[in-house]
Amino acid sequence: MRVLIVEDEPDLASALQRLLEEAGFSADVAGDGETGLTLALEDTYDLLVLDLMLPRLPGEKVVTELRRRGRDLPVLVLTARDLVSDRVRLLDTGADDYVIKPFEPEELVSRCRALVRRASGQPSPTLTLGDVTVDLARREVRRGGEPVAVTPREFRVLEYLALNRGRVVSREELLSRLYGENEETWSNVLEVYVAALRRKLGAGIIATRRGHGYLVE
Amino acid sequence: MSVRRRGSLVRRLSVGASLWVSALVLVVGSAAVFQYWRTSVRAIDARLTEEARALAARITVVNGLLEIDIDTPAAVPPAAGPAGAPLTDAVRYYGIYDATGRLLDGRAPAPPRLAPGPANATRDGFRVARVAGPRDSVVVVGESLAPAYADVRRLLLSLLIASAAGAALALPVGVWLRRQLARSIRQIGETARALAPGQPTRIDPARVDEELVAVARALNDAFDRLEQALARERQLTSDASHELRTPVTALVTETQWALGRERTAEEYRRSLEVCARQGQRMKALVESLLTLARLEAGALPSRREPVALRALADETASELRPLADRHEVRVALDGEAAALADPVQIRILLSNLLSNAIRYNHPGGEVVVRLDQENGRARVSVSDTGPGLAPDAVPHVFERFWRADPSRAARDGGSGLGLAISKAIVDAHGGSIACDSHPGEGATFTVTLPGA
Repeated sequence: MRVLIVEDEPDLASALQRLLEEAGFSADVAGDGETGLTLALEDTYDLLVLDLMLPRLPGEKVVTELRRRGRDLPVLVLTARDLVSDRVRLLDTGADDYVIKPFEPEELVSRCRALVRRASGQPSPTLTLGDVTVDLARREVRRGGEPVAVTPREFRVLEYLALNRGRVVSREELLSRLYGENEETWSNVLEVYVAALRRKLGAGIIATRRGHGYLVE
Repeated sequence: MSVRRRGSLVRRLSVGASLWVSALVLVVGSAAVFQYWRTSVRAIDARLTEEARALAARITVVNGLLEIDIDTPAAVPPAAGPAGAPLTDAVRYYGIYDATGRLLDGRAPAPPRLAPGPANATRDGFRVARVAGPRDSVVVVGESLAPAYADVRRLLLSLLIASAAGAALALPVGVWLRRQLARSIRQIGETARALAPGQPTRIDPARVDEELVAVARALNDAFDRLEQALARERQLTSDASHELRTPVTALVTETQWALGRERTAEEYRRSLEVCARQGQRMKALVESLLTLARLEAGALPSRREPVALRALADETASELRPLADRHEVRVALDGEAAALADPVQIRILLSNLLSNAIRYNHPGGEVVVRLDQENGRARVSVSDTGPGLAPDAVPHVFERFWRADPSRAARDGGSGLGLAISKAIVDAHGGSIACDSHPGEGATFTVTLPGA
């Protein structure tokens, strides 16, 4: 899952980025509204975490513009305003959720997960794929009830494919959702993770559609 | 120091009313009794004089001798007892004397004085009338005043009783007053109790009794002043909580991340740096807010002394040298001025204006501080060569937390209060501050202060 953080306070942006990455997201940071909007329009993000008081383009305008252009990625707003009327207006302009500064970082992470899950049409935080269950909140995988050790990277691949089950996901899409702008990747990194997941969870867990991508049924 | 309680107003009113009524009864009554006494004495005098004249008419001169034709004077009963004896037991007496003062008839306590004198007089408790008869004879008629004295005593006693009764009757007036007063006061008290911060309710002076209008006005004024003070406090709290939200969030998120699991020493160091930075930012913000709040409330101790502005500006400029070097800005000073001001506050003012001019400038730019004296006032202007302000931005620059570019707060670590504080300082000194700026032409802030 890839998240874009639009926040102009560099310390807060950096802390959020590290927090979300350790929670299993890959996170990028934009320091102003314009950059944030441009990046969000690239369609490589599963979630937008958006501050309101932004230089160049205020947060409200970013949401309005995204919705006007038909983008449906979930938007979580960070606001310093705690008036009900402000929050109502915020949700009415197209934001999906908000947290009021200062928020509990844990709560922010949970809300991010919930937003991504709901956007994928998965109501439950636990996905069942045959005899394999994937617990998105606790970042755990079980096969036949037994815990299976997977690396965070492998989990990200599995999580993304599982949340998009039934749809063929291209290698490019998968790569773009798994890595932030500044993370290095190499060409066959996906094959390595997919092979590891098949070895641990059974060969049938991920199907390859040659020339198209991967698929979880 | 002990303050004597003033006690009950109504008790004082009641006692006062009672004393007043009884004094009034006494004064009016005494005047009446005095009049009654005078009238009584006049009536006695008239009667005695008439009787004396009647007696004198009966004295005739026969062969050069005085002859008195009195058997039993009708009006004046003959007095018993020997002549010259005290007449304390008698009610009335008469005496007829010849020119030598010899008593011819009747009896009397003493011969009348023949010298000219009042025809009527009081002697030994008797009212006496004296009338001249033929051949310098004298007729004297006396009547005891004891019955008249007794009348007056009775009247005075009645008067005292009436006065006491009046005092007693005045007490219920006090009770009535208490009720009226209590109702008025309760009414104003109830309205006062309904006064609450943030509500426009006030005591309507038109609806309270005339005597309490001043009280109502005073209560309203006191409440208005409290309301203003509260509004300032609320503004401070609201500003503080809003502006503190971002640094607090950064602090909480950073510490949560750092404590999430074991980190390397380098990671801990970087986390602590973030915490220190955000902590400093909050500290600066809180200090600025407090300074501003105290300035606006007039709560900062302030003195006035001649301040050499050039020396102060030089010091400020050298303190800000590191900041100016970082922004590659040159600071130049020109002129001299002396103000009658608080040097501590003027230092804050100059520091705010100069650091703003340095921060909002282009690399290689310049800040010029000009000092001069005009019409007895000290003038300081600080000009920069920065990007300047849009015309619609200029009126807002002195507002709290107003920023030409909201993002600058995060990058500069400025509190957004510098110019608001500067304006508050200038206002406290009875001076003026103005901003002149056009996009692309930098900005000039001009301050005038009372001259020294």
